[in-house]
Amino acid sequence: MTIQSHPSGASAPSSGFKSGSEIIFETLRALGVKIIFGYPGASVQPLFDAIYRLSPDSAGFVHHLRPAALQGHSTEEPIHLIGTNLYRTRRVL
Amino acid sequence: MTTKTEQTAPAQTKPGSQIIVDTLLEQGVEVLFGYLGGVVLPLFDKLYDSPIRVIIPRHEQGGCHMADAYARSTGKVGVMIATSGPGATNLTTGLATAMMDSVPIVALTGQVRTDLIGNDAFQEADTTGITRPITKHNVIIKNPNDLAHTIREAFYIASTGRPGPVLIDIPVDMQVAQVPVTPPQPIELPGYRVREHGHARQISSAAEAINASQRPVLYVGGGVISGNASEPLRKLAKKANIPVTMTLMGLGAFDQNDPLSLDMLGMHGAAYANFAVQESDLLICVGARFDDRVTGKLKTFASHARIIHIDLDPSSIAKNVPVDIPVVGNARYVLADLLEQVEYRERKEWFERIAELKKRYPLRYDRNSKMIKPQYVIEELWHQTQGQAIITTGVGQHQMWTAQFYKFSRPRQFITSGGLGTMGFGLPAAIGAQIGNPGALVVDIDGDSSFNMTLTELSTAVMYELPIKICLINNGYMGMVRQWQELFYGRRYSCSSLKNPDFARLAEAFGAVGLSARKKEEVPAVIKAMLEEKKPCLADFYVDPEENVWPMVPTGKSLHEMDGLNLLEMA
Repeated sequence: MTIQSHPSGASAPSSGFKSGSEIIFETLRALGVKIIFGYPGASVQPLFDAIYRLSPDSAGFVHHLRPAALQGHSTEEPIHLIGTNLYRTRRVL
Repeated sequence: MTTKTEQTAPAQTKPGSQIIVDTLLEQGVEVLFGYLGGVVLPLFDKLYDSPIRVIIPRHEQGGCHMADAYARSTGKVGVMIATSGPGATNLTTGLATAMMDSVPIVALTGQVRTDLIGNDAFQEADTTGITRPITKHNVIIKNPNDLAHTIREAFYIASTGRPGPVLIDIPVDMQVAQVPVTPPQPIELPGYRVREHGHARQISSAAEAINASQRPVLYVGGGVISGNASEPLRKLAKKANIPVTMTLMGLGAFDQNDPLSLDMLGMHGAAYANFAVQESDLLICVGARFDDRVTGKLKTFASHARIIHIDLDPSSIAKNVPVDIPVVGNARYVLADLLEQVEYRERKEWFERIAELKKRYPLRYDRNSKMIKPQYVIEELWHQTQGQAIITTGVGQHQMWTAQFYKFSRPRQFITSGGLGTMGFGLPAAIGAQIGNPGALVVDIDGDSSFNMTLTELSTAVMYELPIKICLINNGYMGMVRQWQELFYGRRYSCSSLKNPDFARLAEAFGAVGLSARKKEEVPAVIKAMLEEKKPCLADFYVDPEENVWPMVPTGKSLHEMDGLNLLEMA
């Protein structure tokens, strides 16, 4: 067995290998999984990153989050993050 | 006068549930934590008439953490009762937490009737099977005559040697059976031997190595606290003149206000502690286990040092690193024996080097920021409590900042989930610590995501009128996950932010007091108001959402290869 690893779990572009987390993600998608319920943590971070990178509608997601978080803190308005986040999580596959 | 009729009269009998309560009382149990359910009703019925105080959590996981923190903060055995099936499975996180951090707990679970076991009966689960890897010992009672001595053995096993949780699964028919009352017998457990005193020759070798060393470091962990070895540790460090660094679990074992303290080492330890360990020529490990969060890359960990490892658990020794001088024994006795053989050494160059490291890389943060820095809240809390509060935490960034910026001075002052890293530990732990230490100031420094996991226990704190404080470091993220995503995943914050409730109003709804601070200037007054409050009180601090914990040893790197040093370094 050959395992090629990259710190973030992303495959090197030129490589013929995929990361374990990418294989998990693609296998789930091939099995017809539409919704995942999950909670991040140190040892599942590569998988959550694969979900983020490979799901078709997650582009630009990060741009929503950070200003929203900062805005919530600076304007005393509630932080509206999870709505976006949940939908993203649900529709990733 | 003894008559013949009395001699032959049948022994006095009691229901099994009464035997359980009597044996708990005999073991000195004054308070226990428990949640009711069908198959523990006989037991709770007998507790109703007993002098034992019963604390009802809102969830069995919370109850188990309460028993855990009660044990950690008092040194006594914590007791938790849960019903069969979901009651027992809800204990698993609490048991695993106690197992990893070597905390003495006796858990009693109800089980379905013996004739129903294996039948998929209502609320049946294979509790002993499920909990075997996360308990020091577990057993199911199949004969009611075994109840009393099994409970005595459970307390003995939980509290001796390397402490840990013990679970007894008790089918409901065992609780209602009539059992003859028998006097306690001496505990005999073949195969369970605890070596309390270290081997004399090993101790002499260790003393020789210490006396000959130029750059020694004491690296101490939770075993010093559970072994009540802080006083011999202090004497040894003073007499032999050796700096002391502590693991997360070891904080409080040595007074951090002492000039010999190097504070915490490891992934988020003080840079001066990590450098000192890497530059040492002798590492004296006491009651710690070379955890990966402490050592970083094993191959390069303290590679110039000889290693002395003092531990009560022989299976811990040389598990992760080769050890030059192993000493199996209780830290309390081994350190006392060592003390007689070590000599004072000045080690001028070594202490000059350490002073230079401390001056160059202090733990610090941006004090001029307009936002509330989480470290500032913790530092201010430390000032206002004169460093004397019992502190509990959840798991994550706030836990590491607490370890860095609240300076602990005595053992059993800092209650945190180290090994398992159990988010949600902080609030129930504060409740358990307050139950065990009435009158003491107990503060849960928590993170918003950790707090979200077990906040239902606010109801418990209110019901028992416990004046615990919750100091919420609220950054709107799973902060440590977000930090890793920022550093190692190109700022892709996948699923790591939460929509939180208004925690202050939520606390009010529970019947506690809720405060909040959104501006830096408000922090001291809000902390003061929180500390003066007699009711359970939550203070919600809206901190800089993207503050990071520094320094950081990335996984797989050597202990001296810390990120963030440039942010700490003094010109």
